[in-house]
Amino acid sequence: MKLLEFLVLPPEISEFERRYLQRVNRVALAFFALHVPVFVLVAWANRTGPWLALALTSAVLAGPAIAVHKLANPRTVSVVHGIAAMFFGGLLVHFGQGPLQIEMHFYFFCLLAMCAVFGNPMVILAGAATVALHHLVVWLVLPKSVFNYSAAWWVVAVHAAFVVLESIPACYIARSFFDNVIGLEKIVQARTAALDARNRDMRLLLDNVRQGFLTIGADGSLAKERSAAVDRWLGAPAEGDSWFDYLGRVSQSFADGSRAAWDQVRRDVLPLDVALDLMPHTLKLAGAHLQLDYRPIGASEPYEHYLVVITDVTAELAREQAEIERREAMEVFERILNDRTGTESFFDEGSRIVAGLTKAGEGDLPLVKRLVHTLKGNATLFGLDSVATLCHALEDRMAEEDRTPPPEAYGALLERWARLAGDVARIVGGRGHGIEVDEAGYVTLEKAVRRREAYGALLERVHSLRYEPVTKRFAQFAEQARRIALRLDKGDLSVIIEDNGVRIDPGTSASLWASFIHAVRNAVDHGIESPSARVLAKKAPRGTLVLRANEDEDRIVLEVVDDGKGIDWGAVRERALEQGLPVATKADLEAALFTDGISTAASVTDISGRGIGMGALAHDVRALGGQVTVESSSAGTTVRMTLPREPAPRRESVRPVAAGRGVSIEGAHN
Amino acid sequence: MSALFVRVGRHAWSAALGAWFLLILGIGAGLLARHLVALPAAEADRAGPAIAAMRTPAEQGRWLAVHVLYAECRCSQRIASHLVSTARPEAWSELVLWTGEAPPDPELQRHGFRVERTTREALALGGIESAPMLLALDPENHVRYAGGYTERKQGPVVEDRMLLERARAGAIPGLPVFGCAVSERLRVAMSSLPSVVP
Repeated sequence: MKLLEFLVLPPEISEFERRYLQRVNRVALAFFALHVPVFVLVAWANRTGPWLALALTSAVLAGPAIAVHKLANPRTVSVVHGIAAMFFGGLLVHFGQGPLQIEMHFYFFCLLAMCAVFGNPMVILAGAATVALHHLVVWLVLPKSVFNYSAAWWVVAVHAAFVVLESIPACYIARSFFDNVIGLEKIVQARTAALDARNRDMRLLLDNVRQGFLTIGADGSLAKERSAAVDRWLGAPAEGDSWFDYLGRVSQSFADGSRAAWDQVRRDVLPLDVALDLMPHTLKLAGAHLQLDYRPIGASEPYEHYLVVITDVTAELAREQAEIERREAMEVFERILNDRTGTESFFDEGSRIVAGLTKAGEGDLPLVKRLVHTLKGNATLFGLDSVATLCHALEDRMAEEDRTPPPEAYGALLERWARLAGDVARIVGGRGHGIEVDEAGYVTLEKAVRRREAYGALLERVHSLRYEPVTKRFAQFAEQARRIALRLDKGDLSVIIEDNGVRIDPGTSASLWASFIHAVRNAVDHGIESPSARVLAKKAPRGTLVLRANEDEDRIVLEVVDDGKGIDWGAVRERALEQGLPVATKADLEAALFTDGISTAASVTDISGRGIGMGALAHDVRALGGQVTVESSSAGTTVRMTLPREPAPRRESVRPVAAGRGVSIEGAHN
Repeated sequence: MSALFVRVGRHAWSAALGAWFLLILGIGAGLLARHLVALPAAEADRAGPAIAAMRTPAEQGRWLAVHVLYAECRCSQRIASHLVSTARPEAWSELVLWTGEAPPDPELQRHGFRVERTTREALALGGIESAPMLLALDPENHVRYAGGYTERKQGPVVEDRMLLERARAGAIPGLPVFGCAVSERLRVAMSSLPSVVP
């Protein structure tokens, strides 16, 4: 059975086999057609009858000719070729008779071997069977009474042996050819079909995932396969586009940044995970935020391909933003509950700053920088990180472009501020600014009235109710300073408030308080050392910040005192020289310190380093008619703001204002 | 009936190929038979006396080689070419019995062969029905050898000199005769083989 299966081909004929056999059968027919003139020539040379050769060769050729043109099954045509081949061999032996007649027999074996090209063992078997029949029929036609049987029959046996000997490997070759060449096509087709099915499944997956997947080469070349989401977001790439060309079609700046960062990946200078982390990851497109992640593909470096995963994080960011806004709304609500006046004052000042931004012209870059920096500091103070982040982005833009941002750049900030201001307005109910009086203050005033104090003294007491104790502001700055210290690994900062009962007009001092935060942030960021550095400097490991207020007849003095490392005057000198400022005297250096753009920080952070804060503080103090001085040594720094005194508020007892019940007095602010 | 014709029509070409196969097979078998078949050798008891009667006085008492050649037989023509192109054994007298329509090859006489024309019937009377055939007689006219010249039809080596040499040692069996029928009887028998060869 196995032998039969080996010799007999499977019944189905593939398209590849059909085309192949049709081609081979036609070639074989042409080959046999050439036998006619060749055999005529042989017969003429051997004087064995060229006309007979023409007739018999043509007769044999008729078989393959009919088969090629009339039979549908190409395998059957091949079998006819195999039979005809043996007939041609016999004719050659006859017409080539002579000294080389034995050699002419070789042609049988040549043709038998050639039959392997049909890839069908049955062709060879048909040829061998034809030869066998050919000899067997001789027995039938030979008159026994006449002829000598003894001679040459052993030759026939030898012929048969050789035919069998050749037929076996020829069949093997033919079947192997079928299995491995013709059949290979089936195998390839089957595997191609399997691959196609798998590709379809993968395509289905890629077309329906929400994330964008694509692969790029180490050289940035873009692979063809990618998920449908990529095309939805980025459009279709052009032929030959690299990944960065593709990105450039939607955002040239993002593409340029990505390309530059990719060079770092390729140069292998940084660890791969660090270099990949430095790739631009967030792409904004038509209101959508896309996050791009790069992952190497392979077991180990060097990686030839990378997977790019694109995720639409718009909703996630929106949720995060909504959460931030909710949290900030709560923060605002709490602050209003705890310090309505202060919160209203902050929002008033903030609104003033925001209005100032929209009115600023192109030549007002220093002003815009101060306003943005101040708003950022105060937003941080009040826990409004969203506003601080937007301000930081504006600062980055101004640093990069060195010009005031266009009006549309403020859009996000204006929108956020408007929402916050709206929240405040809803909470406070649209009421005008009021005046808060705590329980103790009320009791004191009541006692004074009962004692029938002089009118002037009573008037002073009432007037002083307008002023807020500086300790409230100091408490906020103290909280901010502690937070900054923890964030900068400066340890648990000790903040001491020495208010000395000073009260100050919240209206006129609003801009001052807006800038005051810069002195506090600078003291913590640039002044206070880390605990370990302080120990090395033989200081107490815990840094100290003092917020101090004093007053006399003519002025109010506010101080921010730290026990840090002091101002690096050498760095101030360098920065001043870079900007062409005078540096000859200490006064020059102090003046430079309060000039925009002068910072001793090595880098810009969201806390400080732009050289704006001190300039803004000096500007606002001077605007109130005051002045700012600084004293600094390795033991610490004191920033002193001296302001002209307002019509003197009554000095109250020196005690901290406790959180307690208060009374809100409605009324217009004047 | 029409379905039968349709079926027949559909298989007509297959049937034509079947007929072709049988036809060519038969023709091929006939051609093969004519290649394989060995013709009868001479009857020694008849051939010896007939040839002895043809000896010349110069050939008396000598070893005599007789080459029976048929003018229209290609194998005989090949033997004739061989005879005139090879050195002949000196101890033998050689006689060529030539039959057929065409005259003997004059080269035979020029190379010293005695050529006698004879008829096919005379040869048949002497028990010789096919050609080319070699007969070797000793000086007492005993047939030491009667048979063909080659081991196989169209064999490349004509072994007449080797056979004559061996015949001097004693009678040897004859090689098969591959060639053409000379006698009428044999010619009729050969014509019964399927072939288009006359």
